[in-house]
Amino acid sequence: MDLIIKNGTVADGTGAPRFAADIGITDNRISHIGQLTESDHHGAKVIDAAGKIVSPGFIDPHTHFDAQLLWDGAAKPAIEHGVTTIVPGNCSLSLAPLKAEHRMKLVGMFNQIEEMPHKAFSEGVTWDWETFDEYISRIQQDLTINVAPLAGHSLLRLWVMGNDAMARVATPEEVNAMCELLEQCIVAGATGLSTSFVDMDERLQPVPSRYASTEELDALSNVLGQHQKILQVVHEFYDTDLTLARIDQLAELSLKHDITTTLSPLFLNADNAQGVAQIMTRIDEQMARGARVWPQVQTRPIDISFCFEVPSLLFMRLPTWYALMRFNDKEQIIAAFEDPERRAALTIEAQSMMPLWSALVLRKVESAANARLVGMTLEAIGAERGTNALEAMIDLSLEERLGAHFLAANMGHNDDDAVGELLRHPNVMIGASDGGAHILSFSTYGDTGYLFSKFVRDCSALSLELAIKKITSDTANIWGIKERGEIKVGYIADITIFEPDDIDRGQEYFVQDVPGDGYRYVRDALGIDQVLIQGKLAFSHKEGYTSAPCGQIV
Amino acid sequence: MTAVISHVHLNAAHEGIAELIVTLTFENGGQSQVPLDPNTSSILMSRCQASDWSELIGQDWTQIRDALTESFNTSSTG
Repeated sequence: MDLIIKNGTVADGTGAPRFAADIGITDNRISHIGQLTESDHHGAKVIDAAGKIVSPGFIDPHTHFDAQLLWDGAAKPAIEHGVTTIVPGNCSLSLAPLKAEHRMKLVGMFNQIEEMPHKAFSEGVTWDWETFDEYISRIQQDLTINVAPLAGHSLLRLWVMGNDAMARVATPEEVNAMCELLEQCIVAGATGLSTSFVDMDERLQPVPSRYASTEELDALSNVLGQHQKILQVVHEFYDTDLTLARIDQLAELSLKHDITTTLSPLFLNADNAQGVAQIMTRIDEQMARGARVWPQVQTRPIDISFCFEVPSLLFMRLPTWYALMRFNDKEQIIAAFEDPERRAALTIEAQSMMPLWSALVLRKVESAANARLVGMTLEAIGAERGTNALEAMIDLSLEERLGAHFLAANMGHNDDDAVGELLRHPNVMIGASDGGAHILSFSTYGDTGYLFSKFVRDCSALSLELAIKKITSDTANIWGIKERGEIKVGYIADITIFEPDDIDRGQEYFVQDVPGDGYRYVRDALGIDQVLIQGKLAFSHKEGYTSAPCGQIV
Repeated sequence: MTAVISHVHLNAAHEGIAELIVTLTFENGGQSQVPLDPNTSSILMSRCQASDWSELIGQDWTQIRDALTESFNTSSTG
């Protein structure tokens, strides 16, 4: 054995009760589960996991790390949150196959939909691929995390139809060409196809996949069926009726072509609880028919961010504020805040919402002087300054010339009991993290830690064993990811070792680590001790990331 | 068949912005929800001469259609 994990408590990913056992790893696979003595060591490296859970590595099925993988093969900070396999290429957008003439088009779409800055591409990416195979070869050179990449439907259309992809349905010949191209992607390592019925491009026009006919999607699903690959769909998640129709459409595709389908995201807000109940009833009915239609539900609640340069509907019930933001430019808004009389009128109107202002968190500032305040609540900042949260919000906005960004936390998908029940549902896949996307708005990392801290420990909505199963073996089985997702002899040794009482997501913060001096929101992990990928140590709490390129295309 | 706005409330959208959810009630009692981004919501408020979103209740569905059209056109033309 090359490596032994001693004294740990194994939660093997099947949902079975945890048990005490040592794990032996030979090459990159689990070779032994049970008690091991000193005489079994034979010079193997030993990890002491006493008091810790030894779990299969977590799988994140909905990410947009496509670009980041070109400059960061670890997809940081995914691994430190216990994630050992990611699925990029969701929502009809991958980085291949991509002809040279469409590169800037794709950069625009990634910027619009995933908030990946243009400069990240211009300074962090060497465009040395066109085919899916070439892209895979490119990222494989320095891969620490495992990647199960999707091919994006919009990319297939662009490759085959050029600019017509954004204007019309495909001819039968073009559909055939897309099917051949999808087949090439699958042979090169694509785990399936992603498409979107929702997203808009940088011109605020529908992305190419939205121009596809039902016949086109049917033909592509036929290719997926021949290879037992998955179809990921962004459905009209804001509308119950359309979602129900998409579930039915996906069910028919699933049954006809014997494919697994997944739709994401599914949110549960106070206003749509009835709609979500209808959606889950339809999912259950279609699953009972034998269709495979998996809704993805995220663990984290939705926060609302705003600054005073852009009108936010948070102020819609404050007519003076809303009119100020809606009908005035930046200098006029600053002038209003600086005018004692107008400021007094504004503060009087906003007094009734003081609990909201107090709970707001300062997200982003431009000045060095206020940088240390980022992450604090306005109540705390107000107390430090000898004023209240509302005055602090106005003062900070003035000091930053309206460049201060504020966050109202937990504004949606935040009924913990109801969300916990949904996450526990046997026909729900836990996912939709959007890892690597929306980098300038919020952190898309740490959903796995939040699953344990909120829904296992706080709410007791899921047992620890079930929570692990949902983000390991269940995900692997749904996505057709072989020999991963369980602690099992013969399986690949993707393993996460964590403290069951401490695992959580850390505080969100802004960091400048995107190529082109770009920023993004990230979170550190709490309670993750060590992460093994293919039997190699990829991350440890004490030593951080290793440089071992241990990941692979799965 | 026509429809009127019967309920309005704020929602946290996927992208982390506040959006307005408008419920339309049809003559036959059927209901449908329409999410509106901040710009479209503002245009709708202006079109309906509403100073509070509660004043949108009772407005005809065509106001939403026209607000969406105006929002799309102004966004598309920059």
